[in-house]
Amino acid sequence: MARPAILMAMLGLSLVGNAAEDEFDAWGDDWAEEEQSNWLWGGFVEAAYGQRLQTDSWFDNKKTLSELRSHLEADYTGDNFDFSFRGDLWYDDVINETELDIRELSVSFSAFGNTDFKIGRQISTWGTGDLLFLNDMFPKDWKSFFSGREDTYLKAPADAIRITSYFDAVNVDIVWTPIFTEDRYIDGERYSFFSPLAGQNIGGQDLINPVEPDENMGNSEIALRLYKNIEGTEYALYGYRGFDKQPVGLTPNLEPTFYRRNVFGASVRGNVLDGLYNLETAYHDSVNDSNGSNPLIQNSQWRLLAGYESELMARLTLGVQYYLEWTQKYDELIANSPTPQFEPEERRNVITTRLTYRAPKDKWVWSLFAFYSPTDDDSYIRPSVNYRLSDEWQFTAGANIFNGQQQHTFFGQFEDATNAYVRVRYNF
Amino acid sequence: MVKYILVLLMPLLMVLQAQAAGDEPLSVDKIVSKANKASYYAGDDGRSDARMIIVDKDDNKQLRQFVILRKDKVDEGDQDFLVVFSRPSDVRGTVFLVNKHVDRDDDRWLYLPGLDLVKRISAGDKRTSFVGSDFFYEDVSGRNPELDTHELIEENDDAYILKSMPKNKENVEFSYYQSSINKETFLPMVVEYFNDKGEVYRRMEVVEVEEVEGIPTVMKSKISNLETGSETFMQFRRPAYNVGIPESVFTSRSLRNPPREWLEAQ
Repeated sequence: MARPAILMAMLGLSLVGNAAEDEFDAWGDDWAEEEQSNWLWGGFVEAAYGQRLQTDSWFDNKKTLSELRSHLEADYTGDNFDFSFRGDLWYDDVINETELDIRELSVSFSAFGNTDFKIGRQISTWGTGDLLFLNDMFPKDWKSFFSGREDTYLKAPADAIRITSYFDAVNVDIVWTPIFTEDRYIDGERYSFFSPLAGQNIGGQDLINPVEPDENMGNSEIALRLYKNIEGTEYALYGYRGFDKQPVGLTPNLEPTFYRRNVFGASVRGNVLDGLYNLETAYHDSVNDSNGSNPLIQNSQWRLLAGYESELMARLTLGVQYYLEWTQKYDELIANSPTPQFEPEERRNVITTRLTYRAPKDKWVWSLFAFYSPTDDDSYIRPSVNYRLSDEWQFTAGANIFNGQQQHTFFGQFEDATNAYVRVRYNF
Repeated sequence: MVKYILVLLMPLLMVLQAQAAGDEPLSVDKIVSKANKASYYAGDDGRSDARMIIVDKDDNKQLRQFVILRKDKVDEGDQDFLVVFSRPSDVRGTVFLVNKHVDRDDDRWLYLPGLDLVKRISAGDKRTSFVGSDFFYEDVSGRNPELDTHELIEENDDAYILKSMPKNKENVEFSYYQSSINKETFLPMVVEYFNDKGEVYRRMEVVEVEEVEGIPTVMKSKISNLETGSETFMQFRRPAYNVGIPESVFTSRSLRNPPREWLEAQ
């Protein structure tokens, strides 16, 4: 049986018969004919619904996610440059508004043989943490993240110029964001948050109208990364000159604002013992409050991260991380704070675990991501399940579960925001 | 005159060589090494268009289309792979980079364009689905022969039948696998994976082989998962060898900015 089969295969004949030939031809188009166009299109439409599992007295409506979204992608490949567009248009039933978000509108090209340019609206990411950010000061969308939109939406776009040069000694990556772009942070509109001045959660509407940095060259953001892969171990140095990404400071008139923040850090990532380790550190320098005594400005911090990820058994992966935020000049902070009882611990630490199970062929992906802070005694658990029925249809369900003993801690303040969601997506 | 004699002698020399080879049967290690070479080290480098159709037991179909680039650092040794996806739309722009090592764990990265995330893939994570297909990551970049012990269990006129047992059972789902290796091309034409009960639950078959630049090249292959009833058909187009892909193509630059001159057919 095996012998003629192998001979036939050698001669280029099918040994599986006509049925298999049909399968090989089942693409439904002629492979040789396609790819004539320089344009590529794609996208999806998605319906999503989520609601609170708790009662938040600031919100009559339990809906936390209710939207019909369309996402369009267009790419043009030219001789000397690429053009890329990614945009979302959706009706957001939680805030009764139609929203448009251009996630990418950029031109990319290479020059000097070793340098890549990307100019325009774009998403940028670096660092080694899994949902923990030490040196990645690019904008995040926490509203989307806490609502159960796809993880992709955790990253928010910015108008920027990215220049990456590749040298033998080291690679250099520069992202210049001419106009400061803040996070899409929790502002009370969708979820309430803890106000130390009020001593309780506030919400029900967008309550934060921050004073933005003036738009001038001196206030642009610049992020720099030097990195190199040596024998499979990735080393990186980071620098950032910009502002707090969230309005965690107060002006002398007690309006929320963004103070200067410079960040310097380093990371290393590589293989060890059948798994993957990562170490990262960052110093967040509070430029306007170097002695830590100004209660309107957040203090400087050291941030440290150690992580390890490994496959426990076939298709089951476990990732663990230890993360530390070490507030500098802590005595000065407490001595000057109007609400010392609500200040975070000097060394706030967080442990995360991510358990991922992928069914054969990734048809089902089960994920459980848990943050737990021993110092704050609070937690945030993100279970989710994704089912890929086909290239077109995908279904996702999940939850954002917050728990805390005290209302003022980082995750504790969102306890009433605990929600569950479902999403149905059709790709085209 | 000398040339003329050589031409006359050539067929005779070849017959003698063939006889010498026939007299001395190949050792298992030699067969494994030749099969590994034929499957993953043809030429010094190579490129090909590829596409897969994934068919589940209910006859639902999914498609994956990509270009695969490869460069050997050392024959049968370290090598690099770059896989750039163009279809379907939600996978487009995803790039998979492997720096394969023989003496230590491979370095693997997946670039996810939506997040601009360069995700490093855990070293042990080799026998998980390659982008939702019945192929594993390890099927694409090759399994290190050193990870298994090999035994020649049968030999006929056309094929060597090898049985391979994993040295370390922890990272694999099979108890052993059996390969039928073509004697002429040394391509494994059928590989069957057995579970603890000694049953075949997974089968790879080569469906079509063509000579490309004198190198026998798999053009169509198929993986069947007999447990779930799903099958993946892989097909190659426009394969080319020894095209001179530089080493710089297999670095992090290609994750964010795939090398278009090598993605197009030569």
